[in-house]
Amino acid sequence: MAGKKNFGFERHAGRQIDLDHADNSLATELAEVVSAWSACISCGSCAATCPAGQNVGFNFRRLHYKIKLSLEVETDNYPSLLTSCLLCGKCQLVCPRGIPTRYLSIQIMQKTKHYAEVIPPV
Amino acid sequence: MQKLFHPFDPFVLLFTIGFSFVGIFFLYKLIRWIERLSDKDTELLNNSIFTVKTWQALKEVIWESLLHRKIFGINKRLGYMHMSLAFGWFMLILIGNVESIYYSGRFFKPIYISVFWRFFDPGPSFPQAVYQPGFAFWMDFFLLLVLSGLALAIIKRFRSVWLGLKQTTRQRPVDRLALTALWLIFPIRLLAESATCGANGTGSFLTGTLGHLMSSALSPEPSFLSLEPFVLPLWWAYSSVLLLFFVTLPFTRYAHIPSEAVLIFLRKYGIRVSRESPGYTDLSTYSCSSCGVCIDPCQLSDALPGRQVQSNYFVKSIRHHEHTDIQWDCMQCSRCEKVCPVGLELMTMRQLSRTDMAMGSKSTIIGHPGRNGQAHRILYFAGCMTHLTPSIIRSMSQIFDQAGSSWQFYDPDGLACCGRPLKLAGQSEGANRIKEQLQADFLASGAELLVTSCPICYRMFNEDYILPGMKVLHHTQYILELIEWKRIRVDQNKLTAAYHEPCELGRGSGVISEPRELMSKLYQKDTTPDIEGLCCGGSLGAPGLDLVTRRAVARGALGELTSGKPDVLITACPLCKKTFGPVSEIPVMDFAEAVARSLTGGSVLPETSKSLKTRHKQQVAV
Ligand code: SF4
Ligand code: SF4
Ligand code: SF4
Ligand code: SF4
Repeated sequence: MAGKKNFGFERHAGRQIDLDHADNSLATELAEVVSAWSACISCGSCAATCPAGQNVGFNFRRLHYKIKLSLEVETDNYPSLLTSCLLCGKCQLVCPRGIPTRYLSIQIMQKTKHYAEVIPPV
Repeated sequence: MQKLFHPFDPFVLLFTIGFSFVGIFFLYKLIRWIERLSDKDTELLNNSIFTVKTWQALKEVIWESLLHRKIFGINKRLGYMHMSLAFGWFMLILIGNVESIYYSGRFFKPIYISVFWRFFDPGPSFPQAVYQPGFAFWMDFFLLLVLSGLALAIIKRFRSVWLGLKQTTRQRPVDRLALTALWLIFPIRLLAESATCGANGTGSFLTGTLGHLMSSALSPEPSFLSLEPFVLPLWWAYSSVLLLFFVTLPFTRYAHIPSEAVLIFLRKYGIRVSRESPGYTDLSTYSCSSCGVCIDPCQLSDALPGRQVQSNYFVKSIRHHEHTDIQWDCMQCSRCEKVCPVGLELMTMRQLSRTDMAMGSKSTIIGHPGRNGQAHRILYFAGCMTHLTPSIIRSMSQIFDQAGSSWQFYDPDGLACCGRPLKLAGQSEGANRIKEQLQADFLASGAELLVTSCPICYRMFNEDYILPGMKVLHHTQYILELIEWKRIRVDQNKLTAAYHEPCELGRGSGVISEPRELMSKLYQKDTTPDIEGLCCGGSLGAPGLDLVTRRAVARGALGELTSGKPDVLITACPLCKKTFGPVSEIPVMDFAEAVARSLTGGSVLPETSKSLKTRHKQQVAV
């Protein structure tokens, strides 16, 4: 990062949503198949109990969140990371909103499979 | 040539066309089924075809495809209906054939000759056979048998309750067409035979009597009007409905008639549904008779009405390659599989219908075998679900310690997964990888006994893992052994309790008697209803079900389980406990907890505060 001063901490990339380019089709499609998803409050209980999350850097809540904000999931490793989901259903049991997260996981996987194939595994 | 096709009448062509079509269709199908078997299955087929298995299969075909013994066992009236149609029709063909050989003296002749024998030769076995059993008598007898079955089939369509089915199957248009043809075949045959016999003054108790009535109705005065002109048109009608039935048959439920027989043979040879043998899966879908026996046992019939999740519809949808998502809604409780008279492997077929996206294949399972550098005799595998009901784990460790067992906790941090959730969701690649890891880990631990608290893990370990020298027990079995060997002692208390049998433990793994024996050791009164085990609704088999439906299933099950007004509901699965908890008005406990309470002499019931109870009530109302 030539030309930039090192202040001893890192800065995040911008978090605004670029409304001109945001593509929320994935979120819309998912909301159609898993309607209860709209009740998600991003509490993070799912990620906290997730055994796959402890094994590899996979955060289920963050994935939801990114999809909802139409952030480009395919540029991250997310679809590829999702192949570590054990479908154990613990997230579903702890979810305070009773969202069928296991099905959501399957659906995200199905709809983003083409990304997972081009991205090398972690 | 002319002699070969003698006697002949143009109406037989309709039947012949239809019959040849069915023959060619199923010959093609048979070739495709066998072609699309895996190498392993083809080898099984080749090695077994000339063994005693073929005879055993033949016997089974007679028992099941003709006599429908299994449906009889489930429901007498329905069994009679299927038996009378199948066996009656078969006997009509057989006797008609023997009769035509007997009187024509020809063994090899076109099939139509024996099918329409009564038309070609209305008389020789009469009239003496009217009074003493002969061909005419038996032909009439079996026609009557078929007609009685047909009457039941018609009743079933309009009033299925009378045949012991709450709901009958819903049909597609082509099914209706075939059904109409089938319904018409035998009444028209009756009319055609009766007219022939009436015109010739022959026939036995059925066709003879009816023929006589018909002719006297037409001509009260002799030789005024004869039945003769009606005979040929009626045989044309008979041949046409046969044609209609045969051309629709391959595309309807009736395709099961030839398919089921093939299935019985291949199954006897040891072939099973698998991803590698799509031919066998296709054969299985063709073998479903759409009898509808699987609809009533399905709890989703009440909890999710109108969704048509039941196996009958599911099998139809894969057979016709219809795109649906119902395969995600089935709880895989196997209540339907247990009663399916064809013995279809419905659960495996469900799993295969879910696309394998290799989920789970990038996880690494972290366990703690051989902690403290020391091998223990027992490895305790709580299972990830059990970590969400920590009191089961606490109870188990109390029990192990009290019994003085040499044990070790494999998954104290709850990160290990047995792989079955993936398998149930059709992700066999991921499931396999996890299995390989855990299997190696278990064997490296040097333990002799693997005890698990989760029936889902138990079933996976038993069915899929290869663990030489290692015994696998569910904790109910282990606890019972401890009691029997007097390593621990439990006292019977005065409460009334009912047992909820988890699907994966009871039907799934055949662990049925041990939990019930534990019940009698723990409670004075057992009010478990005498019904096939129910699904709690929490099942991992159904990713697609939402919470509302799950709760509806749980409430339905609770209603039946608590019909004897027990004080407590006992189960043997963390997932069942967690599913029933929020909707049950009485406490729900696992066996481990109940036994641990008895060991420590604490209160026999968990403390349910009043506020919790009212909250339950509120939730039940929602
Ligand atoms: S636990 Fe449920 S509500 Fe909370 S973030 Fe996860 S999905 Fe959303
Ligand atoms: S189902 Fe997948 S996302 Fe949910 S807790 Fe299990 S591994 Fe994590
Ligand atoms: S799946 Fe079995 S029980 Fe269900 S309709 Fe088919 S044959 Fe009958
Ligand atoms: S397995 Fe259970 S939920 Fe699924 S169709 Fe059969 S009875 Fe219904």
